[in-house]
Amino acid sequence: MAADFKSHVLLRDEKGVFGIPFKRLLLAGVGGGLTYTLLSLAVPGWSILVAVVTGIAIVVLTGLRGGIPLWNRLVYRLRGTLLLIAVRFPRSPIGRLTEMLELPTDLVRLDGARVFAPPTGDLEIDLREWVTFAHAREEDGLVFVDEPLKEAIHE
Amino acid sequence: MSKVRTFLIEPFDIMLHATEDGVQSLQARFATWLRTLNTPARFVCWQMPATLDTKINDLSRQAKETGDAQRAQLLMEYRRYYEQLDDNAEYQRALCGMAVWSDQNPRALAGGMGSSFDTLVVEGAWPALFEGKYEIRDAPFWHLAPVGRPGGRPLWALLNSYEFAPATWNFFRPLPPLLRLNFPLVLSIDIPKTYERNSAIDALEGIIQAYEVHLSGMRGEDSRSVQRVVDCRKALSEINAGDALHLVQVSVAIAADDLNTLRERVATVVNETRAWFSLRHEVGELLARSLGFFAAKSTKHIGLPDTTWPVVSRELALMLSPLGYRKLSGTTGVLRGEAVGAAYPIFHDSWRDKRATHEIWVGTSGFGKTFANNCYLTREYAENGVPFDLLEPMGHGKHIAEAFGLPWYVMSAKATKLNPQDVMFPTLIEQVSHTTRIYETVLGRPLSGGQRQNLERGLLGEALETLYKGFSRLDRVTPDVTPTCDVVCDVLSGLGEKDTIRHIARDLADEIAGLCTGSGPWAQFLNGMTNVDLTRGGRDWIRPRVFSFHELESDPILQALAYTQVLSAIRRDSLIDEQPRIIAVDEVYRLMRHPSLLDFLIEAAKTFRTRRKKLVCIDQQMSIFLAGKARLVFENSPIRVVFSQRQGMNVFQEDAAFQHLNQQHRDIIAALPRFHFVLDIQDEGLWYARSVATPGELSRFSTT
Repeated sequence: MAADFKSHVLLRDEKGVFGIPFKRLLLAGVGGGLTYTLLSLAVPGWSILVAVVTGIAIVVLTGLRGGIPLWNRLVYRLRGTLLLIAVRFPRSPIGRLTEMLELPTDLVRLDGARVFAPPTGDLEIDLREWVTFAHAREEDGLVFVDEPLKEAIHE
Repeated sequence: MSKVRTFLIEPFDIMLHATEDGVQSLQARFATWLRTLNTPARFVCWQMPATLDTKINDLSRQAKETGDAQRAQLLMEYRRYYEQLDDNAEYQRALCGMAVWSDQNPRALAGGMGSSFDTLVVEGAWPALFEGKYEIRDAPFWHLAPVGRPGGRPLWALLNSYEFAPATWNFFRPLPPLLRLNFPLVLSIDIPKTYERNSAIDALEGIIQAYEVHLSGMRGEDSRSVQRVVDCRKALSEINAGDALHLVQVSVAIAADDLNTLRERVATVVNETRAWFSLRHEVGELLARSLGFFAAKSTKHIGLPDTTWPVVSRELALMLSPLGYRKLSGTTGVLRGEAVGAAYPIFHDSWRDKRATHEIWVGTSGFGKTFANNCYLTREYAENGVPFDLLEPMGHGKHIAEAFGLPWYVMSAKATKLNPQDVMFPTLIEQVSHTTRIYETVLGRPLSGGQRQNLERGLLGEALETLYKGFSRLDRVTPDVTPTCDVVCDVLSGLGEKDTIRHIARDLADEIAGLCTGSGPWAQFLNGMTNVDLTRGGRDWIRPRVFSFHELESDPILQALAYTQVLSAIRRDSLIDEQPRIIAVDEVYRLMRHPSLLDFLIEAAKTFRTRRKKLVCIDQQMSIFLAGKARLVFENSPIRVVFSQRQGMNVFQEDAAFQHLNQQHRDIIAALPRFHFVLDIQDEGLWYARSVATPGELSRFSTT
């Protein structure tokens, strides 16, 4: 018996050009256009070049790498690098920046006992390990008494 | 969010389901459980390489400590064998776990999983992926490394799935090949969400509608959209047929001792799964967060970007395939065989409990019962120091007696005498009852059920009591002073106050005397002093003993009587201590077909159990253990070793005791080749195994 896995049935494939969805192309266009508009006021000679580079960068950075947009992956990598530096050199400028940004530095040093701690401390006895005693003996924890024990509260 | 409950699941052997129907029913059962999920869940399979080092070291230690030269020699022989096994194989140890975020009673959850997965599920803490402190390292690639001295702790890399290819999955691909890679890895199948049926249908219908709008306005070809609509429709039909829609993500943690090996292993795993799903090697913060997939941490708290994939229950069921790959479990106990298919040795310790666990072995002649039994007895004796008594009717006990240098007790109609009056029980009532049972067997009729029979029973009892009361203490009655059958007949013939009673007593005495004294058919065997040493003789520990009954084969009654007296002597000695001992009775049917002796066997089984004496009943057909009172012996035997049962398959289909077997199990039992068996241990599992023997065992027992 087998099963043929299907495509992602909860996701719509986006159409585009050269394998790039229109959404990303649109974003690149808007990003490039905005860059051109702003730079044409300040450095008109460079505005076209920077706008084109921005557009291309947006297309590349929004592409998926390992199921995650590249920019997102780079951010995680950067955060990881910052965390490592912050832990190794806590008094460095990057260490202070990390502290200011409240990045979770505890993710760098991981204690197995904490990360994999059982969710509940009151797990029941594993019945496979149950020991059946042949005799009721004191050392087995079973004591037979002559009469019911009196509760202290009634005495 | 509901409380998380973690469970440990004992993997089973997929070889016991390896037919089209078998795996189909397995998939259906898994899918049925998954359909009922309405909260997040996570399945994890830990796999670590394993060795037989613990076993080997244990045997070496025992060989040094034991004062018994023979045992030491056997232990060294087993040690060499396990070393050889270890050198020639790459063993792994596997454990599965499930975490369920649910408010349900954990026992109910475990019960539900146990019945759906058909294996042992207990609530328990998951093992940690690593011990001690670890840190993230970015060079030369992102990984986790131990802080401080490694002390044998490996490096870890984590991979997460992000895209599933349209490929065919089954119980044998793609996950099992991952488990065959002989390096430590942990596989996690995270199920963060299961859609409620209506919302799943709505979501899918929305996607279909959107695509249809798109396709209706398109002129050219758009095969991806067409395929997506087909997939959505198929998913819809499966959901309408009862499946649920789940989101899943596969995570793999890989360990290695050095960076180069780790890099190589990561590449191996990525390539191995590429045709089915893509894996992303985690970096930076994602690496640390991904550890949560191997702990009972909710997906929401792990906080990774969503790269889950929607699958229906029947697809997700195949992702639980690691459950079907049982590997080497513990090495405690003795070797019971080698798993067919996976080829790992099966060890089982049946002495964990303070009470003994009896066993039933069945199988057609010539399929390896006797050989396997000889090997088992030798292993228990060598490795655990458990002595044995072997009762067998074929004469092959000679081999094991020779192997151990033991006296071989051969019961013979001409040379052996077994006095029915020998004291086997501590109290007078029990002893009288036992001797009466023997006379009932000799007479071939019960001394109960009618007025005359009741009187006869009473008179015989009175005669026996009169004789035993002549001794101050019953336990001091040695074989040389025990009353013989002719004395019993003499006393019996003089009993009774009324004429009618005297008449009955005389008749019964004559009947017994005619059979057991003078030239009676059983006089030679029963009338006289017992000449087989069945006494304990003041010993603290009794060596293994072998009793053969092949010279009594022509007379089933004599054989049954001999079995009974030997078993009674063993039982009597069993009451004195709680030292573990194995009593193996081959061809037990010869005893069970006499109703009064069957009662004795049932009673002995109960006594043996509480005194740590394991009873191994061996015969050809399982059916004999299921009929009538014999069932009590069966129900007291939680371990069943089933060799070929071609002629007696009906009981495995009809009897309620075998409802845990599926059609595939039954097919395997019906077609078991020589030296193959199914080991069925109640509440622990089912193994399809092959008898394996050390070179020493082969040379000793090959003729059996």
